[in-house]
Amino acid sequence: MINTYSKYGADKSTTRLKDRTPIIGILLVLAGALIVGRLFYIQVIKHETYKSAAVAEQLKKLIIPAERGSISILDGEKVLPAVLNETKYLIFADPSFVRNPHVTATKLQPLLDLEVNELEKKLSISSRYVELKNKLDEKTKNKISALKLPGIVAKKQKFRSYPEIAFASQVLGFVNYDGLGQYGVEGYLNEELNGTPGLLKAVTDVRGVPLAGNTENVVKRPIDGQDITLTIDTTMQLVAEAAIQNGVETTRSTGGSVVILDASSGAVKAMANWPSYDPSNYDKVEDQNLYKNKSVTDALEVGSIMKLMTMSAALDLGVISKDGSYLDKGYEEADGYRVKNAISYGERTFSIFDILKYSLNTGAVHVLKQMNGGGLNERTRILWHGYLTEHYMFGRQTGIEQSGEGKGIVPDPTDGHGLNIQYANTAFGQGITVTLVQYAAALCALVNGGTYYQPSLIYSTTSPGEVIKTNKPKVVATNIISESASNDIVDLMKQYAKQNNPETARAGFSIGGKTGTAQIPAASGGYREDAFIGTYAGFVGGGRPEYVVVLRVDEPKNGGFAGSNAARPIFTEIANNLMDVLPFTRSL
Amino acid sequence: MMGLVYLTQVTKTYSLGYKVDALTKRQATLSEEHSNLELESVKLQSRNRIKSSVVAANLETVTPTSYAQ
Repeated sequence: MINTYSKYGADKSTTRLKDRTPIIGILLVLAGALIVGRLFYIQVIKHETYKSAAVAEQLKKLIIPAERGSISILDGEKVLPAVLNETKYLIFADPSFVRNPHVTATKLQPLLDLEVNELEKKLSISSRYVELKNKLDEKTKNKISALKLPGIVAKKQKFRSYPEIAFASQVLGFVNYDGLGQYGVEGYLNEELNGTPGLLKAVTDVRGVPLAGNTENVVKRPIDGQDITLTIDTTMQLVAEAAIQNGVETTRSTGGSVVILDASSGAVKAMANWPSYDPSNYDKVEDQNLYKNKSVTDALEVGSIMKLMTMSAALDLGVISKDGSYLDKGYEEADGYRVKNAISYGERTFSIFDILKYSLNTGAVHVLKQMNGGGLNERTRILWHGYLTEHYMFGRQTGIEQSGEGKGIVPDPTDGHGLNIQYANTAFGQGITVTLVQYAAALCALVNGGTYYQPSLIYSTTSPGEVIKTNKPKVVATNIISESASNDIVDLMKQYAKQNNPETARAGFSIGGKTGTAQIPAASGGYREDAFIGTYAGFVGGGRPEYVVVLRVDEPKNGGFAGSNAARPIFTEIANNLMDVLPFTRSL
Repeated sequence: MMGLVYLTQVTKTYSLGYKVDALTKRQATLSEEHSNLELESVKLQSRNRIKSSVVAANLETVTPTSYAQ
């Protein structure tokens, strides 16, 4: 019975099991199908999604910085580095890892040259990042690393280094903490100097080392920035800087600028401003105006040096003769206003040269009128405007490789009130503004036979792995005045220098010039009575004018006319020094 | 067999990757040292340094030259 019962029981159980088997089987198949289906979904349908998620987690993207190009200047036949890159270090702390702020601060104090209390305070704050000191040299960084202080980290920083400190600083500009070039060449050619950063996308190990076998790795090499050599000549720049500093200090002026261009190419040989600054410490400069290269950025009413432009146009038109003369009434009238001279000479006959010698405003207006048969009207204005804008290229940027170039203002000859008196004033440098570099570029054309070159600072550029590319002078216009007019204005300027700058007279050299005393517009309208800007436009050379020198000196306080008493001595110093040091071929 | 060859090659590639990384880092360090030395050399020759040197301090200023007109 028992067995029968047991047998019966076993049979019943077996039967139930048999009944369930297909169900279990089906369930297992379903479960298997579900897993396979899920795997198919993940591995096949969602393949790309998961693959990219995995790659994103394993791949590290690293920007490989490009090396910023260097800037050099010419030193005779040689090239001298003026701007290079320097590696320095930032020391920062993660205070959460600093075990004993006081002990750490005491150890760091002599190396960071900071107060222990100050350091301790920084190391005790609840933050994960505190900058302790930047711009540290490698030796100091190594000493700090050797201390093995927990929570103290050194990070590389790239800086621009200017070994000659303030030398040509306004021409060079600087690079800010974000790596952006500001002002000067650094600002204007930021992209070219900066290059293109590279990219490394790679699967890395835990230490961040790229694993070479991975096919997903992407390496894009950085393209370093171009190395640039400027046309600036070390000797001429030194001469210009010393002279402008000396001139500004001697005359107790607020500042001064000078430009020296090669008359036969427009190449900038020197560009100096005083006061100046050290681009390595640009952040310590209080007056941001110091960053500007005023010769390029600031347009001014240049005063009587504009008479050279007026006379050149009239000589070119053939309406005056270099050796001619005219009757000067002592004033010229336009729109009911009278133009007079700084010193009254009354009615008398003056030579054309006297217009420069005595700096006659009336003479300049007389010359302007001759451009249209003796009348000052719309036709005269349009004709003169044409010379100013299409021959001398005033009122537009020259294209010199400097950021923030000014354009200046040339008044419209047909639109406005009192245009005749406005244009009469432009003949002697008032009511029209130009930058020193605009003026110097035009003067180069006046003295070189009439070819206008774009003023340029770039001597050559070198891209990584390429040969040096030398910049050729760019001719913007030819015959802006005739060759004979050019010879005439050169003679007149030589005559002027011989009489007014006898300190520069040397046998076999070509020295020419003209002073200017410019008025400064007052904020309330009109001109200031208490301050002037002295200007000088001249040239230096052997048998012919080789270098054009144009300068300004702002608000001198040494008395007399600013042009004669403040600007002229600066030109004299520059001309004499250039004749002393440059290998001019004299015409004896 | 093929799998073994594959594994050997992959391992070798990865180990070479480490060598490449070490050499790249060494190259970067040397290049940086070169730049630093170049900069140091330029700084040592800079006019400002020469002007403020002891030797320069003991030099006398040249008297301006007079020229026959």
